[in-house]
Amino acid sequence: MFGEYAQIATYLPSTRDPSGAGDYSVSGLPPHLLPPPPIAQTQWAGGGPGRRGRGHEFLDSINSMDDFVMVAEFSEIEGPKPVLTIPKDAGSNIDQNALSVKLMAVDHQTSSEGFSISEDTQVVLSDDESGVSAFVHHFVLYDNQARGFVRPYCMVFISSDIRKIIMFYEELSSQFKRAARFLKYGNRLLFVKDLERHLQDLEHTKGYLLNQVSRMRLRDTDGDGPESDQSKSRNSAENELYKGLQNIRQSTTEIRDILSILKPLLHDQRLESRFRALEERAFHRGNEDAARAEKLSLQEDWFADNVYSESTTNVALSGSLKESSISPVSLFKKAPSHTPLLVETKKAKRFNSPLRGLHELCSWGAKEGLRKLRCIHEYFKKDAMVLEIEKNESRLMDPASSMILHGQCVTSNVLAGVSMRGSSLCLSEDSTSILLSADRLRRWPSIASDDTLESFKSVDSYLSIQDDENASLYSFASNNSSQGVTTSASGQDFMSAPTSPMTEEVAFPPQTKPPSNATPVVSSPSAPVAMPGHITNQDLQNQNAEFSPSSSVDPPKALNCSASASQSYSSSSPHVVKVTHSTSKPNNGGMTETASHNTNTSFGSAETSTTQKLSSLSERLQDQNSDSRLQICGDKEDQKVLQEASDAETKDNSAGSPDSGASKIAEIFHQAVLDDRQGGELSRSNSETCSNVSNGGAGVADKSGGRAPSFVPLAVMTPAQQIRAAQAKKRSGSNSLSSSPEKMVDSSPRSLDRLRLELTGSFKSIASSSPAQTDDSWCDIEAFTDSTCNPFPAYTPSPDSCTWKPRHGVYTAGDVINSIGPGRPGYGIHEVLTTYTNLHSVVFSLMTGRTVLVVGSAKMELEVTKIVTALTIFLPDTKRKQHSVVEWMNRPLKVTDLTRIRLAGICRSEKRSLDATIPTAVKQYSTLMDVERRMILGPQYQGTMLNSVLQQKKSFRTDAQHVALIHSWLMEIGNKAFIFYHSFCLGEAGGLTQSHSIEKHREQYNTTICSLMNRLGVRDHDITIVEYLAEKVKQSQLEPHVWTGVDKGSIVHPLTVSSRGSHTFRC
Amino acid sequence: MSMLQRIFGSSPKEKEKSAETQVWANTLEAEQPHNPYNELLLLHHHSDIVRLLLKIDDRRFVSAGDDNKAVIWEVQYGRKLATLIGHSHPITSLLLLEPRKDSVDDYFLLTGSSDKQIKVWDVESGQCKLTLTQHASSVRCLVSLMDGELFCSGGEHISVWNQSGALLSSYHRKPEEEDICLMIAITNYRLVTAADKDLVVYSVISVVTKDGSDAKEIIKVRRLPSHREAIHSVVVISDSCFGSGSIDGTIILWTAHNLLPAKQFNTVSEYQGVTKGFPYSVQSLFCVQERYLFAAIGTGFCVFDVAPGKERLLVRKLEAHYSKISHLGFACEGVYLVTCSEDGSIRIWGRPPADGADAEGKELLTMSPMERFTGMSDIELLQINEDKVWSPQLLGECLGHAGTVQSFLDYDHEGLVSCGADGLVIIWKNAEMQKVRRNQTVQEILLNCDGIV
Repeated sequence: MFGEYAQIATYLPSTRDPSGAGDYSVSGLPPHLLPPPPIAQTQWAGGGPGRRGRGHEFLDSINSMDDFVMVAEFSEIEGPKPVLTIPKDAGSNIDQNALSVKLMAVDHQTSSEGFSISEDTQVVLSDDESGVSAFVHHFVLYDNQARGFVRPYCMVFISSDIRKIIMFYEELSSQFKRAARFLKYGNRLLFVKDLERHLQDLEHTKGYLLNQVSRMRLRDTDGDGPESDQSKSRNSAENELYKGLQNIRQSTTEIRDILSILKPLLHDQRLESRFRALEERAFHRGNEDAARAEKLSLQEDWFADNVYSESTTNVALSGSLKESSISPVSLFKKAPSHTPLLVETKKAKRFNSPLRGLHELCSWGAKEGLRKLRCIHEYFKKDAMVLEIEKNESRLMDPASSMILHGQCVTSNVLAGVSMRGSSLCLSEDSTSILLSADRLRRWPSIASDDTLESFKSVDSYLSIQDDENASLYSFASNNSSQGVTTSASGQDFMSAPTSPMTEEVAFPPQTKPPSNATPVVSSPSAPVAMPGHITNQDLQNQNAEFSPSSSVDPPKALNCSASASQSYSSSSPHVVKVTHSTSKPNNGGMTETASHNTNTSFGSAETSTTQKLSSLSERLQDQNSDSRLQICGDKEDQKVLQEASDAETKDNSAGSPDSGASKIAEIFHQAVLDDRQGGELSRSNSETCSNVSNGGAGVADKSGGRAPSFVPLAVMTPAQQIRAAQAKKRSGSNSLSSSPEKMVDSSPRSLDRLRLELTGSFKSIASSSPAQTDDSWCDIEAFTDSTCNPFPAYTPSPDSCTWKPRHGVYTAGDVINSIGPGRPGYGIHEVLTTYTNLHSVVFSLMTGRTVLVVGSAKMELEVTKIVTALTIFLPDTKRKQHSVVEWMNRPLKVTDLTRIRLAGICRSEKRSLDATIPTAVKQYSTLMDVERRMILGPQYQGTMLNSVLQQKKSFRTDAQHVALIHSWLMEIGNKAFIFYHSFCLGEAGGLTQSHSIEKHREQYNTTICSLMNRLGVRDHDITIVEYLAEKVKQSQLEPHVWTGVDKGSIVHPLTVSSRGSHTFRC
Repeated sequence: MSMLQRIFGSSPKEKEKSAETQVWANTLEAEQPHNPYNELLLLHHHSDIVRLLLKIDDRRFVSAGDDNKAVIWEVQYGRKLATLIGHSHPITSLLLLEPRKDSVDDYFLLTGSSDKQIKVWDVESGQCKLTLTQHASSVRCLVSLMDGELFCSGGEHISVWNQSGALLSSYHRKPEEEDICLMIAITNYRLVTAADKDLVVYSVISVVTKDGSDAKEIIKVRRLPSHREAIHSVVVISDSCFGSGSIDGTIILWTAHNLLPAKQFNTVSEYQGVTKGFPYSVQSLFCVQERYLFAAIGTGFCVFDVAPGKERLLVRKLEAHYSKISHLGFACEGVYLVTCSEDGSIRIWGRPPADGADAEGKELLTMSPMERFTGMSDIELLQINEDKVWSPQLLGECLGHAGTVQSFLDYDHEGLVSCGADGLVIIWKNAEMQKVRRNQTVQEILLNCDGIV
């Protein structure tokens, strides 16, 4: 294929045509969010179909090619050839033989003398002309019938999107390694067995030959006399025998050698037991049905891909009957005693016998390995964007207890990446690495705060500090990840707030920084604690990062800087600071103080400096909220996206941005100035912005603070970014992906950027996955959530077989958007939103835990079910344990149902009145949506948050777009809940009983909440929405502690009954 | 004829009813901003009517009902601590016995059942310690005497037991008499029992037997003049006084000393018999400060001042519910009056919210319960007369039970526990309070635990 279409390739415009890529760079998207440029471009740039030549058609076919997995081997008889593909008929438009040749054109085996274990190799190949890329894993299987005992194989993941392979290289690599492990281990077990048998054969043959020799000798002595021809023939026969014996001895030593090398490697108990279980199950089944046992086969068809979509009974029958002679290769079962065979000693090798197949070579290992490959395919066939979103969001799934879900899709996690140990906070190792590996780290220019001003009275003092960077006074710790990222430090002014576990980027202000900060050293004081922000406006930071046209600091420098700067780092806001691996003393006093400050402000007591800061924070937050571009967001990488998503409607600020990095920076900078609404001079606005960045984390910076007007914030590329950029560059090597380093940095993975694309409707591939496929995968997932009822679980992917598989039935946005289809939460949301009006009350009810009942008569069942499915997307939940959604129910509701059911379709019985189905108590605590009468009976919604989503119903056309919008919107709310959770619920104020009287307590509590929420820009009824999320998390966290040792079914979930006055709306 | 007959005169009843009905609609705001109970825990274990609730301590309570089971619950999260299974008939009475002073035992819980047994349970473990079968008839009520050293069981007969469950004495009543359904202990180890319309007083006396050991004996002291109809509530008002209420609507105060009727509050002028369903039946009585008697009368409730010589009506709320009130009591340290009714609702009554500002300065704790409830000082209370009764405001309605709400227990700030004919036990809580409690616990878990589980 690769060569064949060379002429076509020349016919095509160059794939590296910058103008072609320009179309996409305009939107400033990270590479993984771009549609595949080379092919897509020709497709789109080309005229009508008539104008297209053969090449276009070919490219179209390539473009439409689904990713597939192929296994190929270098057959000693036929040369390189494909063995199988997953799915079975994949890659039909590709010359697989040619591909195999290219793939197997590798000699990775060690060329040392004798037998040795050769290491696997992995390589990424790409073909610019055809636009096909491949991730190849070469490995060697052993076969005692093969030449040199080796059978070179490779497993390939073939995709038309190189970025997928580049971006997920590590995942692919580790997954393929696991698949190879299965294959190889099974193969070795079998090989050893074969060899041992062969050894027996040799012994037997040896005995036979020796016997013959002795008989010959006997005949010799018994013979009448030497006859020349007789002795000649006898001699030659004897020679023959000796030669044979010699061969046998040689083979025996060789085999013993091999065994001595291989046997010590076979100690993987887990794999062995797994295989054993498989075998036992297979034979057990066989025993049940003797006739079938005969047919039990390891044939290729047995593993046919279509079995996945078929019911298990079909699976059982689909075992191939073609070659019943091939019985299952038993690895463990005691074989009936082996009758040694005579070994042909004369011919060293025969090449006429067919080589053994993969299943014969690996037995159960092949089964497991191929299953793994199938999983790999299942997972990686998704769009790169989807994968990226999943990757980014999968970190939200840990720890599970603090996860917030909406319609089974994870939207937030208040403790993701946060670990609390004692009273000090730190990032857990794991989460750190996740964060770091995601390359989301950035450094931001540091900003002045008043506290820092105090700390750095003069340049001199600052310099002295810098000089004395190891001074014990300023204890600090830095977590130097492999990517050289610095994390925060703590010092005198550092008040760690254990109550607010957040990773914060902290801005360190060089108050007295000389304007000439061109050199890294000078710029360093402004360096950074670079952790992905939980609170801070990432967007701002991004902008800041882009402000700096120039300097990037090398890691060690940055480290020092952060260290020296850290001493001035003060954090007094309630939601503060995170220290990775802090050596500083856990500052309990600091905590209390912080918290009490918070309380104070909440109650409007005397204005301390802290309260000023807080108020400035709140102002800022309000500002940010009033300006959709500058919304405060939580720890999501996606916040930029969120903002952009909300921007999308208001102003498309990035659409016209030029593609060159510099002008883009200028543009955004300009934008920032405008957005800031502080007007005035550049540096001023800039520092304003920045100070508010730090506000998010540290609650610093009184705006009135006199800071040097000449101060220009610096943006520094983090080492991580540099490394990443470099890596990306390196990896992209020969591939067609052309992206400048700046660009890579600029657009480091922000998964939801793609969502935004989706929102703006410029990219539609999301919805392209076929519904049928979706169903299948859904079924599969269902299958292993419920594997007990699966009679033959070997056919379903086991939970550990996929890379980011849904846990507890929880999905990521990528997954949901990718596979939206009938039955999935959110399916039909577009239709529901456009069909029904006034859904505010319903959505509000859902989001505040008030049960929503969709009522319709029996004939409306489909409609009701559809509404229920669609609305599920709004339903907040924590770990998915119980079914809070009932699509359709006939029985009368009880009050006890309210604790469980949050959304249900209710059948309006012809005979009974609705009141009989829904008792008064239930009715009072739930919102009714009558589909037939088009009436909604529910609380009046007074807020603004819902409007932004519900008013968008005309902007989008598909469910996927809506789901993406809603998801990003929910994430935004999740971020607010995050802040609320950490600042209030975990703060001291949250634990105060305000008054002895319930009435007063309630009043004051609500006032506190209100003032806090107002700072987050959450008002009126929206407060309930955010608070409810935090409550859900709290309850989920309490559960394992409160209910230890209690039967799961008897856990009592509190039911909040905000009996707001119900109103009737038309819908 | 009582002075109250005028007030409860039947003539304006119908008009009043409609007027009162309107008043609810007006008073109960849709959002119920003053309803303290806005979070509820539904405890679902019983399979039949739950009739009885008993507070064990600040943390635990027990519920029992017609499904022959009693369940011990924890009140903060609604955890089920133990299920007491053993009776073969509905449990009719509960009694908590404090452990002996010298022992380390937890409380003992006594359950009396229609299966003629009394079982003694260890509250901590939920184990049945003892089964007393000598009562020999259906047990209807249990009362403790002499600071818990003795307890009495009533039914067809009366038995007195010591703390270890040994039967000390039995009094056999005539078989034609109705079973005793209510029993209270008054001074001098006397028991007032109510069986249908009759009140009979018994006394537990110590006798020295021939062998010199101390024994108890029950003797009948006196049968009191009958009520016209069955007695549904008996209450101890003070050492010198107790009261009884009948379903015909009369409440009689009795002197404890000489067992004579001291005062009769009659709310009905014309006798309304079975045909009318006893619209003014006195279902529940309770007394605070030894002078304010709260009575659930039909669908409404009244508060009487029973201080000798000052008897008067303080509060009158007719038509407080749609159906008869089954139980009433104070909640949240007397800030609220709670009534539960056969209509399935629990209603919260209290002083109008605006009055809250007045009592601001005063510490709630220093106030007497009545002051807390009405927001008026004792002196102001004295000025209330029957022409100008004080009217509590409906602050909230708790709807949750699907049938009659049988009873409730007040846990002050922890909430309110109610049980109903639908087999549900509901803990009503204040969401804001609970949120703070959860914050505290989460903080504890997250900040003190070694990492997050």
